[in-house]
Amino acid sequence: VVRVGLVYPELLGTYGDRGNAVALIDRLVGRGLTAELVEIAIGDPIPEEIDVYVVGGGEDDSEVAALEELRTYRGRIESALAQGAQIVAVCAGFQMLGSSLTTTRGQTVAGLDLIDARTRPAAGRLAGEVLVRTDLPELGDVTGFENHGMSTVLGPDAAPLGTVIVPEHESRTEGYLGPAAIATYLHGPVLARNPALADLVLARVAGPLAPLPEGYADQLHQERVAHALASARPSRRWRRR
Amino acid sequence: MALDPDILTDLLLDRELVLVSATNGKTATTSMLSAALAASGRAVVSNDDGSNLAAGLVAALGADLTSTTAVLEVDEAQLVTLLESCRPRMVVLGDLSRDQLDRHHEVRGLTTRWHEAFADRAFDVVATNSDPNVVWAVGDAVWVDLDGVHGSDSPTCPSCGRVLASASGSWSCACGFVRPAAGVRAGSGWVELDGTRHPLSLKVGGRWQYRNAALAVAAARGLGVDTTTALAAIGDIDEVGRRGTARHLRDGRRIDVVLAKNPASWGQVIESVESDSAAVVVGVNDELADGTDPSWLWDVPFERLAGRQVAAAGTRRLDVALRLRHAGLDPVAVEVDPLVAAARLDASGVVLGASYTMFHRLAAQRPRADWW
Repeated sequence: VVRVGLVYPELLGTYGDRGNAVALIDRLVGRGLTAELVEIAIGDPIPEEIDVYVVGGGEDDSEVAALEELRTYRGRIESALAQGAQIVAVCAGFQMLGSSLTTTRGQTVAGLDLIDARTRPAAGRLAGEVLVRTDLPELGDVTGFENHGMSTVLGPDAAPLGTVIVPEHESRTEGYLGPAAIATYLHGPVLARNPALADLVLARVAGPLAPLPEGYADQLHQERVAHALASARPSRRWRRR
Repeated sequence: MALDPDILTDLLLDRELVLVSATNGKTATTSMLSAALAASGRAVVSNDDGSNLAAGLVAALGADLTSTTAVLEVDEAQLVTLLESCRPRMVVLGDLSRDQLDRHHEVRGLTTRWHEAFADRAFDVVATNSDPNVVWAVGDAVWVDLDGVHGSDSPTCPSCGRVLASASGSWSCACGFVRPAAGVRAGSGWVELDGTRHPLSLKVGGRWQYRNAALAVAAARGLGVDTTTALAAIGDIDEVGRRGTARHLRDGRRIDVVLAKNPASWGQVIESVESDSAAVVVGVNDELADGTDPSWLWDVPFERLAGRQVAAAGTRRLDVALRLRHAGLDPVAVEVDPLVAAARLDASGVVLGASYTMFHRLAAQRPRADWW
């Protein structure tokens, strides 16, 4: 049985983040495997017997409160990851996994230091559809919606999820892709909108996966990728004139 | 459309002004309060069609220069701007929940802006005591118990940032911030003011409308309207704004179109169909007025529609279809056009929950021959 742990859903669920856990479970069940959703409420200990930890986004106060609590269980999470567990972190989740976090009020707090990344307020708010090109052929392009005001910079040994190709003119990378963790700013929920990303996580904990028949997730992914590319095209034409 | 801010100020000059804001329910509350004030003999102008941004306010006020009382529904962010230039006699506030996060950003950010706008005020406030964010933003008010589903959008204390302790529908914080007692509450068929329960029978559907009625009655009382007069006027309303409208499909079946644009309003739609066997169309567009990020669909308990027919519609029909599939439902139709989707459903009644632009297009269109 694969156990998916949804971390503090009451605090970290601003953008439908529960959907990431649901997508993982349904893609296992659809293949005849057994899966269990473990909701971890704030105040409850973080269990070590989890295969995939899913950490979502939240507003500033929620993030600070969640981080304070998560610090207590850092050793436990690190040991689970060392034994093969995965962690998927989105938005505030991504920020918390890094080494340090400076809030919009200018206060700097230590992160969980599971990823070599530092987060600071960005120059402006980033909100809109994003298309990320990855180097992994089995993953391809990742689509999602970002909505945040922070900038997370990876350290030299940390690899990004990919490069942002939409919106254009912004040479920046997106997210983090490591052996035990995947982190991103993309909502959607990102694992529902990108079935290949969900399967990449699942294959790491459940071994090689049988293919699933094409479903709405695949159609949505294709439609969102096409939409992002089409939205980028007019401005390109405009510049040539 | 850029507007001279003075136009709005001029149009409000010498009028008694009441502002109504919240994430959901502001159109209904505005209609109800307008009816109560009109019944008390006032000449009332209102934007009860739900056009709650500056242009809509100017249009409504400009069309009626003689009415001496203005009851205006205002967008949650617009309220802050308006309070800088206008002098309302009263502000009426319902719950805040996540809605159009791409435009408003997060609920707590909006709360902070409200908090600043409500400091040192010279007007009365009638507000929900159910939502910690609203209570903190206004500080003191005539409190109305809206029995809100506040949990998911205010998990932490707006005053100190700690996680709020919730128990049996109430909440409190170690810092001393607690839910204030409300003198006004409502349930199906009644409104209670300071311990006295008054019967109320609404013609408009939906149990949640009684909560909006409670806000309107409390506000009317604060503005000097006799409670019996207010209740009678509110009970007589048979349509609130144009936020619920009926159509008929070609085969004669009725389709109820309701505005449903965020988890809170979808929760109400789902609650309202649970007692019958209606099929449900989930319609979501992603234009600016709808919000361009439909990830909120994952916070709607569509699982509660198990066993009934559903369909997905709108420009984001695939997001909807995927969400419904993960809720254990199998959409019968996945179509851009909500009426095409509705026609494919094999049920005697159909409810279409439509996002903002979809709803307004359907409400504005005259029924076409091919719908009948």
